[in-house]
Amino acid sequence: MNRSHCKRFGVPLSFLVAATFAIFCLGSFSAAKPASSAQDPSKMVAATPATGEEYEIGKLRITSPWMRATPRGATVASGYMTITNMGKEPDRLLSVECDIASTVEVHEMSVSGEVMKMRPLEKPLEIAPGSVVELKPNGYHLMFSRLKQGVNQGDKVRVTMVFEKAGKVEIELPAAGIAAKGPADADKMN
Amino acid sequence: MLRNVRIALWAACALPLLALLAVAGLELTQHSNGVGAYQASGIGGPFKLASSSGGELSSNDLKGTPFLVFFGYTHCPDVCPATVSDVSTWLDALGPEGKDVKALFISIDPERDSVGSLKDYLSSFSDRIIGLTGTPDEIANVAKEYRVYYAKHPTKDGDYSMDHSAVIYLMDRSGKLAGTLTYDEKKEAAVAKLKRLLAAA
Repeated sequence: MNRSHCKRFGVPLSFLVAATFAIFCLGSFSAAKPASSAQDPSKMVAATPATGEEYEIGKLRITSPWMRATPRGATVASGYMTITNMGKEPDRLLSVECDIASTVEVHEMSVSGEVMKMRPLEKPLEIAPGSVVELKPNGYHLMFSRLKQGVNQGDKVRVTMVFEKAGKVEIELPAAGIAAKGPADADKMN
Repeated sequence: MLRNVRIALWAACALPLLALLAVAGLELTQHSNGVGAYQASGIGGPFKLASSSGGELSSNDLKGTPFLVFFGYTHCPDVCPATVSDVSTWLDALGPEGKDVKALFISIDPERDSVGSLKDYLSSFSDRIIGLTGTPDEIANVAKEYRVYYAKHPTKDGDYSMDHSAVIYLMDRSGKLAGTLTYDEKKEAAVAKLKRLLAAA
């Protein structure tokens, strides 16, 4: 039997195509991961950061800033925090600067199939009114590139963040251990 | 006549469909049970790469040794260090009974990852994880053997990041795929799968 026969009869081929597509969808579904880190503030689980400061600038509140200590020789690092917009207007993160890195950008990690990708956001990170945007492992993160020095556990890395409406704020990201999954792990790692 | 042809055609078109269902079934079995029968997968194959432990490591050296292998790069800020530290946590959790299992981290960024930079990088996590790198061709070959996808993605500042498969393969003593772990695998599940890998003949 060859394909042209299948084509001529039509039904079996279209059935095969449909079934193959269904299996493909099943595969994609099982591998799908939530890509967005933004969530409804009412659904937030109350968590008190074990380390780090809280910052308020204009209508924005920044909580649980942290980063992970870097492996030896690393030239990149990532930083995390939670940003809450308590205002009635959207705000956007325009730029981030840090003395120990040449560039700092907001990147998003995504997984499609089993392939992991890191991409800078094409538009500035928006914090919608009343929303909470989390920068956390396997989601959005600050990507520090071309590090001028390594980050050790216990370091406090100072970054300057510029928001479109709230303006400029300087914050510190306490460095947790190299295996930390979140700021609260910082204590356990000691 | 036409009826017979029609039946034969249905059969011909249904066969590949059944094969696909079988593959999907194997996948699902693996997802729910961890270490399962993967013998037909064809994942894995011969390689010889430069090792962060010195010299070269080849697939021949691993005969009779269960191992886990994953692919990544040291210029990765978020998932790779987390995965490397997870793997070292799992190895620690196995304790002395896990001393036979080897862990390999193969760089899919051979242009930037030298043996020295891999050695430095991994020294921050565990002395149990062996870093492997090679020429771009050698890496392309091993990636093909393991059906690992990777691609360079240029960034604005002239650097690049790597898109890559984030799966962790569990290979049994005969060098065949016995299961997989994901980058976000829970510790208990990962350790259980590793124990089963060690227990398998």
